[in-house]
Amino acid sequence: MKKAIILLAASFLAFGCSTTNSVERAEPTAQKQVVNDKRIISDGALSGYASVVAVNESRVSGGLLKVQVELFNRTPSRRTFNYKFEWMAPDGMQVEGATSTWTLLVLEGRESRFVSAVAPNASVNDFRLKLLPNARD
Amino acid sequence: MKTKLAILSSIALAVVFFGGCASQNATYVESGGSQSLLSTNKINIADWNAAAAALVNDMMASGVMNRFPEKPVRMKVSRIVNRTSEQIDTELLTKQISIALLNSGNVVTMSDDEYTQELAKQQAFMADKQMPLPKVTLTGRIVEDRESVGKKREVTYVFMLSLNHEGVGVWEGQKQLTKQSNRGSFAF
Repeated sequence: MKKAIILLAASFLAFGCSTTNSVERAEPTAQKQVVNDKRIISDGALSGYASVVAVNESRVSGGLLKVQVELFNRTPSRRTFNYKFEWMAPDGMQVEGATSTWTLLVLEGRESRFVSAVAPNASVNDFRLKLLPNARD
Repeated sequence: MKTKLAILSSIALAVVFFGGCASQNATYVESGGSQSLLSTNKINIADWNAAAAALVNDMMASGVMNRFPEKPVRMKVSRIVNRTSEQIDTELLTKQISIALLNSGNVVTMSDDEYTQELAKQQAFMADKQMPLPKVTLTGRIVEDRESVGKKREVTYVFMLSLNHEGVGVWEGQKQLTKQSNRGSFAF
């Protein structure tokens, strides 16, 4: 057992794992409009390292929907993956936009980061976030 | 003997010509998607997409267009200075941005096409009106920074955009994209 722990620690050192430390207000003052989300996981390996902490939304000036998602790297090593926002009109039809492209995200070990996107027009009232492993790894 | 040699040589040549040089079947991948190729030699389509998406997000979230009560705002895409080592078509960036702004309903873009402009002038003249001027202009700059240490090569592209009204910048945004690659052992 001891050997296994030493080996694991050595392998972390060998691969240069570095995790992030962060500091934040103990009682956040910002009032988030949290979105109750539904998660469909078809790639267990991806969700093993890229997890969605929370989703919140707001309306920016001009009535455009802005969505912010907190993504967290569960592993102690650097991970890269892609994300994409898709936008929906009230009738459920998808609305294409420049912000609907796959974007590569690099997260250090145990790092969480906010990613956000603004809807293409004011009629958009819904969204979907997609995550995809980095095929270039 | 000579005939046999000639036949064999012809077959060998045919094999090289038709087989050896043939590439594998091409496949479609999503433009700028997770499987599109990346290199440190140029700005790839994934880079253009990422820069455009980030700058559009930034501009839309800023609400800058709401400073202008008259909608839609007339915008002219002006000069985008290329300060990189490669020849690039800056419309790969500006077109995506102007499409996004146009689709948002906040902006109309003024055409660069000579015939379209001439027609607009004539229509304004016939209606005894002045040719409308753009309310805002979009200018920018794309800068490149290269570095290599040992076998590692790095390139950073900085995409900078400004939205200007009456000579002053009312919105500015920039997106940096950095790519690294390892040089092969026999690379020069």
